[in-house]
Amino acid sequence: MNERVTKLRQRSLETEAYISAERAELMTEFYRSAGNSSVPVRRALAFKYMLERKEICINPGELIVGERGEAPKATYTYPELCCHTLEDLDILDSRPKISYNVSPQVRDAYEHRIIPYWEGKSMRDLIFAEMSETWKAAYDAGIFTEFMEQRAPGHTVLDDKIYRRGFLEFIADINDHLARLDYLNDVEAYQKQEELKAMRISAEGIILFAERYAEKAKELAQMETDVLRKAELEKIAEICSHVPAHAPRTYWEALQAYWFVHLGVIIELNTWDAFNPGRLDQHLYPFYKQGLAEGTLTEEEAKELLECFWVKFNNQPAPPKVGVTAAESGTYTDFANINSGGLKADGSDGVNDVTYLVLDVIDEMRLLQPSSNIQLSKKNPDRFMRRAARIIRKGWGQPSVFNADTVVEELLRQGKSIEDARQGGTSGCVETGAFGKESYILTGYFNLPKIFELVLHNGLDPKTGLRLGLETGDPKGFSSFAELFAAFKKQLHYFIDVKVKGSNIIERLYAAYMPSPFLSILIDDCIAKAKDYNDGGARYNTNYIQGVGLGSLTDTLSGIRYHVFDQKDLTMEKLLKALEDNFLGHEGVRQLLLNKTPTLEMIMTTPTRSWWTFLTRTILK
Amino acid sequence: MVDGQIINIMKYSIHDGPGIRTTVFLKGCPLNCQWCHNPESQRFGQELLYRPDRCIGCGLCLEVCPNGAIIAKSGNLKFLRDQCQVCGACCQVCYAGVRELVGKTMSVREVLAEIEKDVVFYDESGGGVTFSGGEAVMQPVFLLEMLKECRKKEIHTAVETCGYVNLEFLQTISEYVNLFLYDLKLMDSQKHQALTGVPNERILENLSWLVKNHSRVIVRVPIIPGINDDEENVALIGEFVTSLKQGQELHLLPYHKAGVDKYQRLGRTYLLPELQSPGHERLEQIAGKLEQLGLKVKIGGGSK
Amino acid sequence: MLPTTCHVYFGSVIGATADGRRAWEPLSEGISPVQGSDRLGPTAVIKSSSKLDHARTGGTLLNLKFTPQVLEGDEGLEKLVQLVRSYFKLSGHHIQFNVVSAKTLRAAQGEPEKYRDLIVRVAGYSDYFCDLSEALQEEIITRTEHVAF
Repeated sequence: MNERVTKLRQRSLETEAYISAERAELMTEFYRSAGNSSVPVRRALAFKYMLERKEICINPGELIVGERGEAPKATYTYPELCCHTLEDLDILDSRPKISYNVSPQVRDAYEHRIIPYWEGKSMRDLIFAEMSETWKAAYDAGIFTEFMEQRAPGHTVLDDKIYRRGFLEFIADINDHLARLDYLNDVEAYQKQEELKAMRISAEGIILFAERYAEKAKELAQMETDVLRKAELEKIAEICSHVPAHAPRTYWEALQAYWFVHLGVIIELNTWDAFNPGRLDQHLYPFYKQGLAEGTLTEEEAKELLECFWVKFNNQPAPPKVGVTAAESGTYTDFANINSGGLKADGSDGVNDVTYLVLDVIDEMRLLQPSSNIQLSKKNPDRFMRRAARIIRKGWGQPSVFNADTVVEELLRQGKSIEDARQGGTSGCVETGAFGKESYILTGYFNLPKIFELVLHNGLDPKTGLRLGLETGDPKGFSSFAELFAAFKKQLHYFIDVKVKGSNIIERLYAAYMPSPFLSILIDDCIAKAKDYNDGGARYNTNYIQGVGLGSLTDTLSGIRYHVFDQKDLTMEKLLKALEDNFLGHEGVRQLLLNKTPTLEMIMTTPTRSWWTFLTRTILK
Repeated sequence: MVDGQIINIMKYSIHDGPGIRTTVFLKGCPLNCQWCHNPESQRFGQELLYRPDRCIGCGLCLEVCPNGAIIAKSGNLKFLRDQCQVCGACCQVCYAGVRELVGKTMSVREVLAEIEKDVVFYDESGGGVTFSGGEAVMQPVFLLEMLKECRKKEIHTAVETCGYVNLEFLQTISEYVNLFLYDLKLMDSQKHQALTGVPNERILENLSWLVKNHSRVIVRVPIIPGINDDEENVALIGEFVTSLKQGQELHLLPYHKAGVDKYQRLGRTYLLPELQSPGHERLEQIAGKLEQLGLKVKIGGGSK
Repeated sequence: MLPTTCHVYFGSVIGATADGRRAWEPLSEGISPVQGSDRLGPTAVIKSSSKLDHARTGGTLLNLKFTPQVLEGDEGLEKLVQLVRSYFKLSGHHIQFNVVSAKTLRAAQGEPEKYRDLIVRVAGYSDYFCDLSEALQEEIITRTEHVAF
């Protein structure tokens, strides 16, 4: 880490996260004055509006430029998705962990301009209005969470397209598709037209945004007295004039191009897991190699630029939630999880010099963001894993390790082509996807042990006394474990249905009311289909429900099967009483369950299998 | 086929031979080293481990004990070990983990099934199984069967031994053992007897034979501060081992206190409570001396 | 809702459960069971997790916790690599290593049931932290505070 990077890193660590009302104000302003347009075009115009007016920030010493907000750690809000109340803001400001400063000006803006406009009008309001009572009861009781009630679908990763093409070329593509619309035979021609127009407007927006950075850099260069810094700023101006309008020509331009695109995505909407360059080492390697060969790049410079790039991620805290979840602390990390290693499209070992450079950067930077993982295939050398292991054992939690070969298998099973599968990877925490071509949306977490608890109470929730689930029978009446498990499966499938029905509606709401035309440019095949990312425009469309508590569930089922049904040293009645009393006065039972229960492994695989059967319903539109 | 008396089968052993291993600890040992960190391995036959700090006072043990070895006294449960016949009835009903029998009879097939579970790890790491204890060679028939089965399954075998065994047994198992880990403690036989319960002549003779007749032996010397780490003992060990083979591999195992609590749990007294682990510098010093004598020395128990 | 807090939130709406967990406490993380009288270390956890058909999921999460000493030295590093390769040979999807701090060890001392899966290197072997005597736990905590790479 050289002096420049040390300073940038330090500043990033020391700056506190705060709520910026800039986006909310601009969005509100726009919506108040916007004329009539189709939904996608309106969203694109809003996007352009923000990029034309938001403050341009270039920090001292930076080489890669651009902040989402007006300064590092400025955290945007997205009132059109969910509007914070004043109480929410106060909680965010005052909570002991993971707080976001709220200045009086921001609070004021919310009180007088933002809330008055958006209250009752956000996607969140719309979603809750459309969900059934059953869905809401289950949601309130903690049976599942709903990711889309606070954030946009997103949750996708970029491939290499922006390193080969600039936005002027994307615009040319879009115009081409517009010209070829068949208004005579295609009933969707008008919708497609609007979506394509929206994409074009968004593309213009990002080009404009970069040009504003070029302007600012030029201004600062003129005022700069330090000769070296002046030259750097002039270089930055040149780069920002070139990308992302045109494809990057150098390593530095490639990093800057990605960064503008990243900002575009997270300014447009607050997508889950922000955005992600994916297989960064694969994308950078050709530029790196060329630079070294031409003598226009040194290894030191490459590392420095990458480290500057790393700091940028750390400057963008995750947008905080509203309501119930605001009282819990979350995390500042927005889960941009950069992949290293893995396979090339032709199936060969993808580890290259930039892979090791990325690992060095991860090792040195020790920042909360971005997250990092390695994709380990049998084709990758042990020294790659060993290098990663040296970082892992230092104990700060990164990188995690993924089995690239299993990832490919998973993607193939889901119907992806082998090339798309090999160029994919994992993002967020552990979710697998075909980068650049897939919308793999998370719909929420699913509380497996809670559903089992309902089974033990014949569908009643012991916590609230409400009837949440199906009447699957009095557990004292089950004569075998198989009966109990069948009841559980019934209950499980019931709630999966509730969840999926809700998700199907939510998806349509986003498609109809909150498209993301900028993101759509970046993911195939949205342009070709002239369909938005939120409307199934991607080549692959997958939904996930994340089952939580499989470990606890397995232990629970093992305990009941072993003691109640096999060994018969505990009756169902006694067990239920012990659970009802929270083990008070039943410590012996608790110790029995804790210490004298062998894990019955076959149980662990079974929920996942029936799980899978029902998940396949929602996959691959 | 003869069954084995087993204390424990420990997976992910990374200090008892090369790679990732499974170590099978057999019960029973001809020595009673005062510093032993596996005291539950010394006696043959089952023993009862007692951890009163975990007791939840449910009293089930008292109800089932046929020998009156558990009584209630001023609100607490008390264990009268002298009355205990180690029948294990109390262990069946103690859910809190206070009472545990150590020493289990297992067949060759049962033990092999456990060992085989980790084959993928042995393959990946060049690991295998290590038979230890106690003294593995004190159950020669069982051990031989185990080794033959492992050989059939191409699982790398290592045997840890104190060497105070019948040479014939060593000779018989020799061809099925890939690696011997042979412990050497004290060269002075009288001192050896005082501290371990037996003289050392046989140990030295057996090592002699083994080094000359087996392809892979690693001599392991536990370094017990104040007991065997003096210059004289170190020098004598070094000279002896070098005389058997120039460049012989030797590992130094630093004393540790990890097993001290087990004495209490067995109702025994630990005789060396003031002992501390030797520092790393001390170990380096000793290693240096031995290397000067022409030995290939390593500190620690893993190996390639 | 975040993956890290989800087990806490979900646990907070569930009463006592038949795995011995008390009411409203967090659920276990990840996919592998940790209770049971047959806890046999990282290889057992890996074998257990490998029984899930990973390729049919969209992703699984396996977390192994170690203290730095278990992974110490070149040998410790090799073992880490070998564990990963073995798990992946069995088609495991993901693994990450929590190398725990002294602070976590202190917490484990206070609430052993929440840390039943924590493996520490004792001397020549590794063992479950919660099974060790207090004196030994103290020693390991002190050691952990001073381990440097």
